[in-house]
Amino acid sequence: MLHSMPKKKKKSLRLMPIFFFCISVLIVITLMVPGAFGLQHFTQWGGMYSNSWCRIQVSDKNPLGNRDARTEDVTAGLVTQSVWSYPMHNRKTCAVWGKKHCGKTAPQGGWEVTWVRPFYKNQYYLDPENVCDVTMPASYSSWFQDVTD
Amino acid sequence: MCAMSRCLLPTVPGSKMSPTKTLPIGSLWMRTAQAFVGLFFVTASCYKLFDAFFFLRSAPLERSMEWWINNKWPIMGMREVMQFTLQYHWMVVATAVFVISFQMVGGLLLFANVWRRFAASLILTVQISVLLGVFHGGIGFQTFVGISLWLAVFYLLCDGMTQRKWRLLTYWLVLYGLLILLHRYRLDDPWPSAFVWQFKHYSQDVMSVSVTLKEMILALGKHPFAPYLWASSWWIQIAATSLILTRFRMFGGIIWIAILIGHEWIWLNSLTSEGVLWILTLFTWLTFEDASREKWGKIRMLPNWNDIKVFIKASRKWLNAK
Repeated sequence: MLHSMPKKKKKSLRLMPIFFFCISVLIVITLMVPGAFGLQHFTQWGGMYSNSWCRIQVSDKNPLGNRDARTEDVTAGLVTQSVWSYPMHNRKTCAVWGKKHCGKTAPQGGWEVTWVRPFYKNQYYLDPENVCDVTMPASYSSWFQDVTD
Repeated sequence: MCAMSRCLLPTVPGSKMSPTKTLPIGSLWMRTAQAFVGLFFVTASCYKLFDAFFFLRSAPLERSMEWWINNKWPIMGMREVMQFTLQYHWMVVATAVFVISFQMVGGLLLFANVWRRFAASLILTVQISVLLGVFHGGIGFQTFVGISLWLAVFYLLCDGMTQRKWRLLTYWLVLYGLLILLHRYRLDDPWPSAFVWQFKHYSQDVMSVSVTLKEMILALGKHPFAPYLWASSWWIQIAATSLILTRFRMFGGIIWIAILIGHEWIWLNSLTSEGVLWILTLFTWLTFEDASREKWGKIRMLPNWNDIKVFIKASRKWLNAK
């Protein structure tokens, strides 16, 4: 009875459940709740596109106390052409992405950026702090690197 | 004519089973995929409720509708419906409630594996409405909404699935796969020359599923063969998508889902939910294809020469009868 069973089918039946199990585990860990496993978590699980999800206000001085401060809004992903769609940051990556603009020239005005306010989910969530003054681990500087043409 | 078209739909060699015969097909993994899809739609409705349409209002429905109308995305007739809806605030709110509630209830029922057809009908209704609203929005939008439609239609037909329906669903999935590859072709994905601007965007704005992965990709990007490796992904994808129509379709599906997961991990905050929905759709396809093999065996997806000969013969007979 056992000898008459097709060998190929048995092998396939053994391997596919293992494959499906691995895919299911990977989906849960890396796509459904990656934040629970120390990975990056964004809007990947059912989130909607919103091109102003994360943007920053760059200024040449503190815009909260100076009316003459020059300001510009910079939206993540709009400076360079997007390969997929506008990047949907979380609070941490939005701040780190914002910090990389410190000390550089404003994209349109050309003046030096000394103050950055990250805007996420309809609020400047770090006010009154300046992201440029926030101390971050040195390794964070590699998260978003500028590439020269 | 209907009987004639059936000649082109191959049956299992040596099987007496009719291609129209339904069989109860189900597996633990199909249920798992269904639970994922259900949870995805539940979360999608929660985003719309808390972040997009109400409460936070980061992307209110009226703004989306205005954007679609201004860009001439809706199909004829739908534009007028949307313009009429925008005149009354309560109608916009009612539309938002319709989208959220249908997705949430549909998703919950799919997750709980009860009233599957009803759940699929709810999601299908919402997705058809969205598709009519963004019909001229380009391939990217059409395929994103389209794979939601595919999932809804799949769960609608799942309980009475026949070989013919499964083949048509597979052709439909492959069509979307090829359309998205056409979209990516226009963005120069198949050519190493695209590597420069794509890698620039990746380095500056994108975050992967882990910082370590991004650092590894950045290091790999400095290697001379990186542009070729980068471009090869498109070619492997088109080969894998084409394999879906052959007897090696499980292998093609495994390669395809592996590439999609890799893309999602690398471009997590840029591909976001579109990439995840593609993965879930392919996972659903793979689990059903695997479960169906126990009942149907390995069915042919494309007609062979013998099927074509029978088709020609039947065509002649039909024409002579006319």
